[in-house]
Amino acid sequence: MLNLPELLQGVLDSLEADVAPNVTDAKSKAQLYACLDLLSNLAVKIDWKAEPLCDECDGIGAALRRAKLCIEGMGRRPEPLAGLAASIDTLFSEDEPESENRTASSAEPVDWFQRRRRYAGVFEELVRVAGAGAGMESEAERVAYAELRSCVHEHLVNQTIREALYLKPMRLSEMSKA
Amino acid sequence: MREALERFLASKMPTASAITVDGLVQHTEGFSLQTFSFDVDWREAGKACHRRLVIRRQPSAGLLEPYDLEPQFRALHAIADTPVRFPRVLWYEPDPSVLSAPFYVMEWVAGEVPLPALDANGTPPFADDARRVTIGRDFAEILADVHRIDIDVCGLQFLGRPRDAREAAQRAVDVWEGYTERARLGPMPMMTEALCWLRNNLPADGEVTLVHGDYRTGNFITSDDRIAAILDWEMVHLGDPMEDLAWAMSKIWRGESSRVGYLVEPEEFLAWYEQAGGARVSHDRLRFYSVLAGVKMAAIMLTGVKAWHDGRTRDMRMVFFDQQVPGMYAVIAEALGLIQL
Repeated sequence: MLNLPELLQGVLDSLEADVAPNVTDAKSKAQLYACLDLLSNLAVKIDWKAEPLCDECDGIGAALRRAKLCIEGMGRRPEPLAGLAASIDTLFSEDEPESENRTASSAEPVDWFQRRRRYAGVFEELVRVAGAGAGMESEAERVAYAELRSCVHEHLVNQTIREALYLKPMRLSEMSKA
Repeated sequence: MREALERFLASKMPTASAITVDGLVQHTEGFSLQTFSFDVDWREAGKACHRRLVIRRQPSAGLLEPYDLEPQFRALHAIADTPVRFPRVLWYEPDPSVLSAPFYVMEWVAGEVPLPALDANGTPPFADDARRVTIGRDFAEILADVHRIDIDVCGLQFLGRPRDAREAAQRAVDVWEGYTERARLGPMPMMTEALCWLRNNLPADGEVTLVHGDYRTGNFITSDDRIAAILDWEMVHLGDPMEDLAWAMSKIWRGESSRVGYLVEPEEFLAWYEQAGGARVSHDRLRFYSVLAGVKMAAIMLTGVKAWHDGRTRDMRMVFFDQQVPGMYAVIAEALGLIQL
């Protein structure tokens, strides 16, 4: 997902440079410029809604906490498990306290987009570790890796369902046969 | 562009004179190669001649970059004498100075291109049942024809023949992991999960054939209730024939419909494919390639977003994918057996 100011600026550039010169109907051109004006003003004031990003971080947080417990229960912690455990610790220790920063009045509002990136980055590390299944020697380790994979799957399923709720149908026909 | 095209045609048609190009139109179907059609008139041996042709030109940036048109041109040239129906290719021009980018010229095939989506009124393609079934059968049988092409007789070894289906699968995963990593703009847990699964589940055996690579509704022309031509051979390669079957059958191309590409039920499609002499269907390998299909499509979308993000294209049809990729992640999750759509 791109960050919103960057996305909107690109859309504005594209509409202004490539679309507007080719719109010949005067009324449509007037409408397009009104949209451009509105979008350029909105672009400096809005950002991605916090709620879906927070929900994703909460889901990842739960998966990582479960994974951390599982790693701790394994006793032996060869790489890449030790590295993953350290990444989880770092993420949680650096994370802003959620309840204090969700309000608009807080002194330093949280950059939800960047926070989501940090969470997703560590979760991707968990996906890699769980997928590789490195260091599986004993039955206990095999069970532990199955638990790690279960953490991964649970979040992926929940996140897929959450994202599907926001998805609008693709306008493929209109874009292809304009 | 018209004058440049006339000069190009004059260089390729030495016995023709008074070459004129008219009716040059850019088509919006297809999000990858640029497509133009045009009429060409000329005089040859005292006679007036006419033909409609198509140019497929490399875009400055896009969904399948980095582009190289030569392999597909050579492959299409090599299979010209097979029963597979596709627009015959005429000339390839790698020199970007001729028309601003490499391109090839092919014959025009009249007809329509049904899209794998509901139209603006919510109507699915192939609304007429009899027509739908006829085209569906054609769709299965032509794919069998593609897979029966003799790689050695047609001289297709230049595409790089994998030793076996396992190596073919390994290569496919490498290719799409490469696309995914080149398009990376941040964490992509679902892609990583799917790529791990693919590496852990490479098929053990199976055959290697010519693979179209993008065989689906949306990539053929219909005319008189039959498929007149198979289009878009950009991803042609040698690999596992199950890759084409899984791609054609993917949820990506059928929306809410249970039918393969809005055409026929999966069991019918596979039966007709096998009856027409296609490869023996392996459900294990189909599953592997159905996961790969989701990865492939998501990687293509992410490549478009990356090209737009990097400022290499301002085509808005590249960046809308930024918000549609989660739909592809859902397709992957279903193929992995994590959810049911």
